[in-house]
Amino acid sequence: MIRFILKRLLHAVPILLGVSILLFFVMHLAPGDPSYYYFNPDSSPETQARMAENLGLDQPLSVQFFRWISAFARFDFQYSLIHHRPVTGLILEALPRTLILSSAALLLMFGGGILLGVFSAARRNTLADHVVSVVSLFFYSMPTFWLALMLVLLFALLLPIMPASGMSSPNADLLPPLQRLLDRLWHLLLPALTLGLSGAAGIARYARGSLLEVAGQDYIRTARAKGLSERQVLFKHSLRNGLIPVITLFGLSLPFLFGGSVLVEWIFAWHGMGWLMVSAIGQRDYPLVIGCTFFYSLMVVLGNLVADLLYRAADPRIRRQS
Amino acid sequence: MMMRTESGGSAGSLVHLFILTVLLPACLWLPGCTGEKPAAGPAVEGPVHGGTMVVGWTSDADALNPVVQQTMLASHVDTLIFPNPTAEVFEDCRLTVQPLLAESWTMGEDGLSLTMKLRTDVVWEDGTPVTADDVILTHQLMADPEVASPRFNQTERIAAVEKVDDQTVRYTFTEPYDQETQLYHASQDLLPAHLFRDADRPNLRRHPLNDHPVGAGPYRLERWERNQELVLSANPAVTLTDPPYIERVVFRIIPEYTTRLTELMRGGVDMMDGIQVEDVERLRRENPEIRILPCGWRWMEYVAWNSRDPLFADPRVRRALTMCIDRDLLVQVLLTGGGECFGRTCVSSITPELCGAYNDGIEPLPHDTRAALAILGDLGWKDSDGDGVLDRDSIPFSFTLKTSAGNPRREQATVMIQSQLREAGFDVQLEQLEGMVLFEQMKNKEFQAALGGWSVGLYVDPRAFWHSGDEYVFNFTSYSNAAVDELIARGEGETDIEAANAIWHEMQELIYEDQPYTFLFWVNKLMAIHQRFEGVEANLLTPFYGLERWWENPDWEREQDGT
Amino acid sequence: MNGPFARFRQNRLALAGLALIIIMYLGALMAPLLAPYAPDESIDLINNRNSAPSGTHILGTDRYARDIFSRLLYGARISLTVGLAAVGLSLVIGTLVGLLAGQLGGWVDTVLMRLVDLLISFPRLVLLLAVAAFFHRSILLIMVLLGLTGWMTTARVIRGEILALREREFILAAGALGASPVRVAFRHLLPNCLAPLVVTATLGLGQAILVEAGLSFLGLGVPPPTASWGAMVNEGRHLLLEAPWITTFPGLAIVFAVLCFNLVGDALRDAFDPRLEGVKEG
Repeated sequence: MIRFILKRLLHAVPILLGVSILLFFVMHLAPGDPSYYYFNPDSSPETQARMAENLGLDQPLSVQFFRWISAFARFDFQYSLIHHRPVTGLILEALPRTLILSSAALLLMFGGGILLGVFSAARRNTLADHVVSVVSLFFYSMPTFWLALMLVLLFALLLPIMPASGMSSPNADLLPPLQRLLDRLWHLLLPALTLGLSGAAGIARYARGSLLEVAGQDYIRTARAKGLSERQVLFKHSLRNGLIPVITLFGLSLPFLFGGSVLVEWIFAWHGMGWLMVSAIGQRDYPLVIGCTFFYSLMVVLGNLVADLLYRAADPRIRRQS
Repeated sequence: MMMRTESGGSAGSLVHLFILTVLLPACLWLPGCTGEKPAAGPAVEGPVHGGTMVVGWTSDADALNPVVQQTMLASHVDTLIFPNPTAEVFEDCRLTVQPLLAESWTMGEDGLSLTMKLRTDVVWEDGTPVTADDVILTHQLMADPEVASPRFNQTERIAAVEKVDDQTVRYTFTEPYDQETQLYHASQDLLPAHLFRDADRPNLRRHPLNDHPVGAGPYRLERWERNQELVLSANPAVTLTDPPYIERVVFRIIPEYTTRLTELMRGGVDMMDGIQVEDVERLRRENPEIRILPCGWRWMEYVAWNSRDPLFADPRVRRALTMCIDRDLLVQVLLTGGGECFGRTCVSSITPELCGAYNDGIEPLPHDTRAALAILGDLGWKDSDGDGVLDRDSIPFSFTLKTSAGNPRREQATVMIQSQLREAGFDVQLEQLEGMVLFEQMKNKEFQAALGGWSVGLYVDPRAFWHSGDEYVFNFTSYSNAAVDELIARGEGETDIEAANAIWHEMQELIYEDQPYTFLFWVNKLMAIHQRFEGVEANLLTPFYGLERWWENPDWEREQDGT
Repeated sequence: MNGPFARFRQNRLALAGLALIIIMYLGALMAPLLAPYAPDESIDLINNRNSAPSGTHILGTDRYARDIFSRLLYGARISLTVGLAAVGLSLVIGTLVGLLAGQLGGWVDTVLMRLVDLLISFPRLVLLLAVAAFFHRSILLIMVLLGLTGWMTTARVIRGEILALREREFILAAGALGASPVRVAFRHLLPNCLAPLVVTATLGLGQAILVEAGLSFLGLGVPPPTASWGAMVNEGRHLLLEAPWITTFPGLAIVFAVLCFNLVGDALRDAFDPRLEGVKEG
């Protein structure tokens, strides 16, 4: 087991490294660098040059790369060029917020998705099934950012019952802890719902297909032949086996979740990693962009690992194989 | 002179009206709900202490350290936290300074020195008195190449700063200067010497105290959550200024203009800078409790014509181009809101606020496409092949107009200009670039035409923009006019203000004649603040001018109900 | 027994989707004929900004007084062709990688498939954001970037098919008759992979449209004033309450385009029945 985990982590090293190196060169070769961000005609070219030197931006690319990669090897992501603070610290501040949002979305996504999938499968080929299928395909085809805007339009503007952005109300820091928590959750609802809804549509489609596939298999037919009702068959036999493949979806949905969370965080001013990354991109803050990308990749790798472990735990066949 | 890319409200409205009545217990977090309704009594008559002002701001501060900071927010906050020998004021069309930490100063006879007497009653937050040592150390840090301060240039004209006694410093300058220039160079937010004396200078940008500044100004840092909120609270021990009335000033970082505006409209933000004209009407209609204050003319927009490009080398062509652009229409469409116009004709890069130096006698070129086409026809530019595009020697008049993306007003201006020029027979393509990329291209003269903007300084300093010398990278269009070069040199050396202004008038005329840029318009910067804040002064120096004199009227709401 | 095409024909929703796709492409192609106005033409800037849908502007106008319907039609050109080109590039790369991995096997297979596994698990949008932001924005760049980041599913599918096909008699026979591996690959293997390729391409098109829209939405896509649906949604964000039509219609256009590709892709998959699935990205 431990060997399996180690092996998986080892396999992830080249991609994490590769992506980071790729980004390093892309960013450094692209036009514009952070010293232009605050260019000021008051400062002479010498002052500008000195500032670039102080930030380490004056060195030839090869030197910068060597510096960066040797720090990188020690998991040192260096300092943000804009905030002048360690990148790791900035990310660790933002990471929990992204995780909270992602977990809430994941919960909605799998909860809602599996329920809908089971519902559809149980009423296979009825009108209800068709309606659910079409509606979930509709949501599945929807750009996350647009769904976010439509939810804002509905629940924050036309029917003004929800906050449209931010992580807390003004002066929330003066509230007692419980109310502060409620306030935070209240602000979490719309962004999580956005991600959850568009994700749930995919899960529902997959769960339905998987359940129906299982339903065609011999042991289910046997169960049915024994005289169990459709409902009993579904809940006693199909469900367990039919939902195992859905677990793989957990790993597969992480890229969607994190990619989507970038847009959703930006729209809802949810100060997580996506938000940090989009603002860092605008400011040419290379170390921060690379750091964010690295942590995103790392989260996906770890998420996939968890998915695999879950899958192994759930499916005895795989456990035996390894 | 500062130039920054204007923070365009890139897009994105998450308008939110935030009424909590349905799902959660009402009154959960509305501060007014906690039962502290002001007791009935006579209305407040004068300033009172207390209250919170929430400011919506674009981007976070970098370091609360006046020597290394490079962001707008940090510079505003530093001014509130750190002591400065002097305070800038803009009065009677002129930028001058008033005593603040310095109680008096005397200028040496030769113009080479300035002796400043500091007040004895000002102390840092930790109780240490503010002394000459602080002035000297701050200067040393700023002048140290290892520190690489962005304000290094400010120290270049100062040969030495010496301590005469604890409360007296003497500046020696490299050349004789007038007192205004001397004071300008001596004016700097100070760091506490006792805490920064042994600082690791090459890493001053990462100094731990940049997150936890120790100051002596009217406010001190209470809390700073990066990228979210920066909270200042009144410094109870302040002696530098009068104690401020407003107890807490919260800067909420909201990068998107529209989100910021929404927060303003629903009360999540009390004050914000840079209101766009197109929103004025809506704000006035829907939020009468918000006051919109014009801050003055500091922002101008232009189309730069690269004179290195053969198409734009001839001033006559550039004049014709200007005549094809309906600048009045631009102002009418882009800068009129709520029945009020916040734009004005622009004929030079000197702001009309500097009323002496500004040449108001220049007659703007008329919008007259026909006359323009006649001029172009004389130069050989005609639509000889009937394709609707002017051409000469079978070369069509075709070019790309670049602008920075994410600023709706500029996008709209380029679209309008494109259609006006197309109608006249120019084949104009538009290209939108990320702000920094455009800036770099303009600096490297890699453009044909570009629409941009300047936030201009409050003293006349035309050299960087108009002098033909190669070192002036802000001369984007490679403008070169020996007469203008000569006027700049003369004007800079002229100590008599009237005489200098006459020189600047002449310079503006020559530049307008040459039309290296089509000056589009001046924009009146707008800030918005909730009516319950009183004593607010709009000023073109800073949106927080005289903040310690602002106060929150706790009875504002009741007074409104009463009327 | 019904053939795949007969099975596809029975799926009415998919047929409707296919029809809509054709209509959308025709609309994009004939945009200059169908659009009442030019896409970047401001019609009466002073009085006609943010006008609600009406007889003269059936979907209303935006903040520059441009006709939204006309922009949608021209935008279709961008959104649909960017998708097409990106998927084309993905197919080429994916097919080559799949072929290489499947035909050569061994360590090449291991390395390539490991790469696919890892790239597929990477948030595409995050990578695209990081890269797109630093380059001069152009349609070509977006096409290439989308293509370079979207080939993994294709590679997987092709490899799977090849592994299955390799053991079949006619391939073995071709090999035994002395056909070179390259010839076997292109003459015999590829034509048999056509079905799964069509399915991945169709589903990939929907994905590409979504991702392009996401990038444009963040202002990192095709540069304005070109109408692109994602950018149009962004332009309307500011006026969500005052002029919801600016945001709503381009968004609906994206949803329907993607929906159609998904419907057709699903139906094709059911018809051919290869085991494919994808999780969406934007």
